Amino acid sequence: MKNLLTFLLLSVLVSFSFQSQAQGTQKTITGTVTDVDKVPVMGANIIVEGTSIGTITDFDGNYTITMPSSARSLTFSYVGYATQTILIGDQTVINVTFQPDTAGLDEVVIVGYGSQKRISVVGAVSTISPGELRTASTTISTSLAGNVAGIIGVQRSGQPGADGASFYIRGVSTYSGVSNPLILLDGVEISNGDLNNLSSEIIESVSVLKDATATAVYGTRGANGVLIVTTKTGKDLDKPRIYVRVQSQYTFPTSTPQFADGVDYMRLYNEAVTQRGTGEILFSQDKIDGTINNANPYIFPNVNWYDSMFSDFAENQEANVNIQGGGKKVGYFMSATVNNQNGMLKKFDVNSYDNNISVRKFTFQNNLDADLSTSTKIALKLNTQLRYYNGPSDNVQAIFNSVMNTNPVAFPMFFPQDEGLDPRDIWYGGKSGGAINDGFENPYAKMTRGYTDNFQSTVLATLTGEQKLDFLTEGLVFKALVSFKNWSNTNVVRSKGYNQFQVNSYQLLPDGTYDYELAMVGQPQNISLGTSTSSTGDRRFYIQPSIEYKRTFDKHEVSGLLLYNQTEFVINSPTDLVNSLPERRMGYAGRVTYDYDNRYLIEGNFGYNGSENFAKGSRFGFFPSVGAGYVISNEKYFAGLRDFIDVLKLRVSYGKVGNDRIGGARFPYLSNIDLGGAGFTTGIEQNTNYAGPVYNQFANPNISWETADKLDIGLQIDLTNGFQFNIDYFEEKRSNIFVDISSTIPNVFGTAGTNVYANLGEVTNKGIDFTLQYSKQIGDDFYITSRGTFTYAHNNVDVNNEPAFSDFPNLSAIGYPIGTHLGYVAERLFIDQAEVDNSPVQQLGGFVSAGDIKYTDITGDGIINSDDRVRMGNPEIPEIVYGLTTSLRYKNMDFSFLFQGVARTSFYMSGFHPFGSQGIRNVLQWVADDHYSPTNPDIYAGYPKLSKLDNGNNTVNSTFWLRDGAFLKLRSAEFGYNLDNMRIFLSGYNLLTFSKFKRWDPEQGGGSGLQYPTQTIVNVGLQLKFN
Amino acid sequence: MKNLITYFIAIIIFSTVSSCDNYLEIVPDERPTEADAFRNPNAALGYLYSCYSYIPKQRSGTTSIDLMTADEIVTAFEHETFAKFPRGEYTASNPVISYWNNLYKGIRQCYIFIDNIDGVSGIDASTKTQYKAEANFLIGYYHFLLVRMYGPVVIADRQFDINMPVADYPLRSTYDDTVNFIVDKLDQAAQDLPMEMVSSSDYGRATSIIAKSVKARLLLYAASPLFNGGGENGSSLYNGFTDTNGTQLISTTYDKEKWKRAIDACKEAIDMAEASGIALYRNSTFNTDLPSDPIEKDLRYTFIDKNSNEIIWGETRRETIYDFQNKSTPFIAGTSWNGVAPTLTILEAFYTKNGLPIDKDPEYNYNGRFNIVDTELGKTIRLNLNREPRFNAWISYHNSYYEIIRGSAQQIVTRYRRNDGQGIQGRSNNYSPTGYLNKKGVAPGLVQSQLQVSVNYPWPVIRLAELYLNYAEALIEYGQDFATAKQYLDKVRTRAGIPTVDDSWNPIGGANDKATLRSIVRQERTIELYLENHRFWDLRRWQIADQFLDQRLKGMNIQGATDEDFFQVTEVQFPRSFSQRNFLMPIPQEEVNKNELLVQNPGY
Repeated sequence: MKNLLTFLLLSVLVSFSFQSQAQGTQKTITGTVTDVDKVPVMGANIIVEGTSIGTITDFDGNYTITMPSSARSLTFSYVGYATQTILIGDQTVINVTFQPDTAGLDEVVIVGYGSQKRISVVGAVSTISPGELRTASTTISTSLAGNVAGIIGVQRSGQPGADGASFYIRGVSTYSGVSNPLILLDGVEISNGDLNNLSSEIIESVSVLKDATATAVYGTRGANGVLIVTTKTGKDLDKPRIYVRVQSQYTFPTSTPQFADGVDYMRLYNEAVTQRGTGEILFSQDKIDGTINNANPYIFPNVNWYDSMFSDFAENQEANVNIQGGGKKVGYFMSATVNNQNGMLKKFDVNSYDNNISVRKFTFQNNLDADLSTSTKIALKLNTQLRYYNGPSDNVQAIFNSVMNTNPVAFPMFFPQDEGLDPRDIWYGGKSGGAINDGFENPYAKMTRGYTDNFQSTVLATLTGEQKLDFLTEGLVFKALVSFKNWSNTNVVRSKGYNQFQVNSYQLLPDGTYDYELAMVGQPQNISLGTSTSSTGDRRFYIQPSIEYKRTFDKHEVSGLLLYNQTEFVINSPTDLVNSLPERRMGYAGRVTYDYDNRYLIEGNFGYNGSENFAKGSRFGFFPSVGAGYVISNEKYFAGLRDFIDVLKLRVSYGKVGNDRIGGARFPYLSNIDLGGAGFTTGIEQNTNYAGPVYNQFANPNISWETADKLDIGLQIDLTNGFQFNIDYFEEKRSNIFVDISSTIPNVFGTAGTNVYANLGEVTNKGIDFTLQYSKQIGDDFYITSRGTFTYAHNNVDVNNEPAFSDFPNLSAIGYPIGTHLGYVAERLFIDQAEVDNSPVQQLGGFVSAGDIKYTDITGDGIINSDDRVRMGNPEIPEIVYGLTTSLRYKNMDFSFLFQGVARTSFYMSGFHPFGSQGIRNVLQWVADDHYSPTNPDIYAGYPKLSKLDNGNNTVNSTFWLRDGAFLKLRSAEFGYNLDNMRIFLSGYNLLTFSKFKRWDPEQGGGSGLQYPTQTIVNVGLQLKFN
Repeated sequence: MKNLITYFIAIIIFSTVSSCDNYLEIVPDERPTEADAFRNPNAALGYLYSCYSYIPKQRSGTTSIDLMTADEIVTAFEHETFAKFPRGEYTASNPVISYWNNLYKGIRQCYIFIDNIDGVSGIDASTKTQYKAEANFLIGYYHFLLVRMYGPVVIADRQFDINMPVADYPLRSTYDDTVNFIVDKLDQAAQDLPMEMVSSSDYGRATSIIAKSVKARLLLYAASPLFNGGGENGSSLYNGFTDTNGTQLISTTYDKEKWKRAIDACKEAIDMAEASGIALYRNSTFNTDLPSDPIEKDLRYTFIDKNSNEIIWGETRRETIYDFQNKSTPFIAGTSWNGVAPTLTILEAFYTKNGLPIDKDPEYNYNGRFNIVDTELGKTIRLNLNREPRFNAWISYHNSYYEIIRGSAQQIVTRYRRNDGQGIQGRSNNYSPTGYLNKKGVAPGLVQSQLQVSVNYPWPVIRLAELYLNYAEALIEYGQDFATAKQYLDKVRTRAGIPTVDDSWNPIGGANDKATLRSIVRQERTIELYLENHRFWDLRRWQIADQFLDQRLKGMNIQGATDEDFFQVTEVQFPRSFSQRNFLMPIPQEEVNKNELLVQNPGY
């Protein structure tokens, strides 16, 4: 707003002063300047190149300019848009469509507690424009990786409502505390979940603060980087701009696990039991034959649980309406979004309720700003999110697990009920001997036994006021921000007991059909819905008064900021004393910047913060940072290169930031004792009970936050031919990492399970991130913009909370990235028993024989146990994330796509091993196809010899199960067609995946592949605008 | 106006800044602290109970390390945690069930209690003395459980300081030093403990008799071959098992006098117990009709009767639905898991009705023991007939009675062929792998139709019969007073309804040499203490576990639908494994890594 006014004033002055000088042969050119959405751009600057003749556009984007006939070209510019220079030739009408320019010279960048001109920013700050956030996926967090340099992120799940990405700014630098960035919406902390509920239409800008200069003002909260989201505000327009978007979405799982069919399952089971001689009861030939012949689906079930329970696709809808408008004194922005997302769980007619996942979100944004006087402004921003969730009564992941854990032949989904019984009393298939009412879990019962209603609401109100104090000294402003956020969550689970039956006996009748008799498994259960409710929530109150100063003296531009903040976070329904206490923080932040002639930039920042988590005396910390920038391209001696290089800028920053977010632990400086945690019973009647304390935590009064020393060196080169390049090298030393040292105290001390916290760990994190961007308008009709980003963040554990490991250096985490896997080195499968007998003894569980995994004896002591593990692979959080996005526009059509990939990541496959100790786990088809067996004695088979019981030797984490998680995806693509005020688009998300790993979408990470799969999404939609 | 604004802003800034210090003071002083745990007599009693809470649950049907893990029985529950022990699948990387962490926690809890109890007001001095003695007893008892598992262990003689430098970390003491430490603790505790608890609600807490009985068991173990140079005729397994200084951790030379020490300890415990009225449980007056045979009734109710006068220490925590009783009872879907199956090993170990081993009794047709014969209830094999009352009281065989409440019936006839009521039928779980079921420890009054434990009783940790057998064993091994040894064996035998040692053995040449008597006392112990958490340790301390636990177990052919098919001796296909390392349990590997001078047990 401020800039707009400045521009208007300047432009008016400029145009007045030069109009009078016009002389000689003149010509006049008229035209209209619009943005890509065909919205007129008011106040755009038009200058005749090589002269100081200029004008600005009016409210409708129209302009008229008169100039000497010798003028060759016109330059069109406006804040936030790419400057365009157009040859005049013989034209008298020149219409210009502005393209957004995220790296524009005059663009204002949101930084910590304020904003700066991009040219004068010395910290490492990346921005992303709202247009790029609106990918085809449903959440904002999934659109960051690959789009913004410095963000490492992956999306692990496609479950509606839980399909956000976890992301980190420049990777992780701590192995103990919280490593997620601080996320701020209009200056107020929000959660990743809140972020994902936002609609991209409300967002004005997103800034990612990466280095110490940018984050030091956040003190103990800034070490992991900060993501700042600001919402749109009103604009001085005669007619409000109304935008409407409606879209329909179809989602398909990126991969579907394939299971062995029932007959194969039984054969494999018998193979496993027989070859290992473990003595379990085999499947009879009778049963196998009956299944082959499909003789009776109830006696000889053969259920594909996955296909029976899950659909192939789901449909979602989303609509957004937003209005932006206002006048000279009041501006407003309003937005409403409705979103409906459905899951892939099938609904069955057996119940009146729907157990499929459905998430309906309503989000509202209402921003009002008013100029009370020339020196006083006030603004109120309201964000409201309502989220209705309907789903199964059981945890969705548990349903997927249940499918993995249930084989196709154990029981049918259900049995036909005897006539005349209550139809609600479904006769679920079952098998006695399990843990629930003596039965094994029937996935179908688990899914249909009830439903959950969950309602979450978030209200976030931010009131800001601004008072110019020019009467004290020019450029002094007082600002204040007060905000309140409340999140509440009400969960109602209605679930019923269910009765399971198993075939007790059966006989073949003379007519070839079967007769069977059922027996109930366990005790009869109550089949009416029982209700359990829970509610939780939290609230945050935040105040932030500040004084700012900004003034230009000739070529010297100085600014200052002094700010106080305090925040209180309270959990609404805490369950214990520690949780019931509010979390409080307070701090001061300050900044001084000095800019000489847009050439030499110096900036100092500090945060002085206190946290209640630490003892008096250790509570406050001072976090200073300094940064300097040198805009070489503004030097006189550089003038010769200006034709090629627009901007050449060097930045350096160094400083200290803190992290007081230490995971779940609070008040580590105090002891924590549960006075009734350990009880005993005495008495002849066994009913005298007393309980005494359990020590959960010993006190450490000296405990304090983690500190991060960050260095950043950046280089920005903008070429005049449309290329822009920005690269940062960063180095961070995280020290005083908060750890629980109890894990290194011998348990003979009797302190097992009692936490003792200390500041001990150290990690170095280094890397680079860069952006290379190219934008070009070619002719009137064709526009291309392309941007590549690359982030590499490699950390190294320098000091770890671990024993000395002088005998077993292979176990140490020091020298490896955080989270590097520790596992055994698998060589291949054993050839025969003789080889087993002549190899080191593998004490990993189970009896080792031919076809089992053979490991390397790292310690050389003849015994393979946990000491023989080594560090292997890459961490699960990728070290490299890259992306390439390109948008093309030709006449009325536009096309864009994003390729995004990750590298240097690996994971273990686990949790899918057949049969298991309880004995009815399913078998994945690839295991059935490629395992060691008497008929396939391949010592390089994909799966070792089958085992009925859980076989520790073959299931421990090892190189045998380590996989490279790198992938490249066609993350999104969009095609649009513009018609007057309307745009039709077709877009897709997760469209193609290229990876060495084929079993499932590698982005889901390790495990069995049995989880809510990530989704391929196809959207069709319509955008309308009225103004 | 302008002054007003300035004033207003100044106030805001001033007020926020001045409130800083209090703003972060949010933890109330009244939060729970250790002081609260000793604030009043009630809290102190709760603390004492927490010291007891680290006692392992011996009766647990899923996690007891020594209940269903020897060769006495085999269960259908091979997938459960305990079943990894008979398979020998416990390793340093995965000890499966490790007492190491838990027992040392219990020991620390006891020391904290001892160090603080004096400061509690409102408790008289004598009660404090008793409390401290109980804690000292537990310190001794927890160390006893540790040496039984691991051999030589780290002696925790105080609360270790968590800031101790690594160089000062405590190491394992020799086995004998650890034993002496425990003996001192138990003797010290016994001085201040009452003979018995005054109130029945305190039953289950330590008494001086319990302390002396634990000491007796400890010294019996310490004199046994595994820890005593391999025994008088054997050789030690632990040559070269030294700490980093070269000190031998388990003595490799046989010391006969260790048996003398055990004798004295046993006698001391027995005298104290008998003086306080503890006696073998006989002439049961329990209000029930079954078993109708009075001897069998005594045997069945020895510890199920809560008023049994034989129990020295009963563990008083309650049983749950997946514990011992429900796992033993004949099949009913959903309540009775039908799976604790005596093996041929234990079936053949029980004596004949004449009190002799089945292969020694001339009246017993040993070679024809698998022949099928008719009984009132149907066909069975000779092995199941003409056996001593303990067999009948504790073992359910094909066509025999199982005393239990099923509907209105007080007993049922158990049948184990494939399609019979207790047979496997089509199930792959909840079946008897041998065609027998256990009855010991199952209350005849247990109601089968409920998924709950309808009858609860304190589990016998120590009872007088064990002390007698401990005493007899020590006397025999010491080799000087066989007469007294037989006298104590006979007490147990006559209660069990069989003749004395001499009455049984004299007709076949008598039992007067050490080797015969040793085999008699070991067999007597195997029978009498069947399924009471003993054999798992006895086989180890006798250094003979490798002969019994490294082979598959046997039973009937449970897939047989006819008598002829069923009564075939069949190997149960569950693997069993025991190698030399298994005599001692592995110390969790991470403990060895944390304290690098701590040595691991051999073979791990």
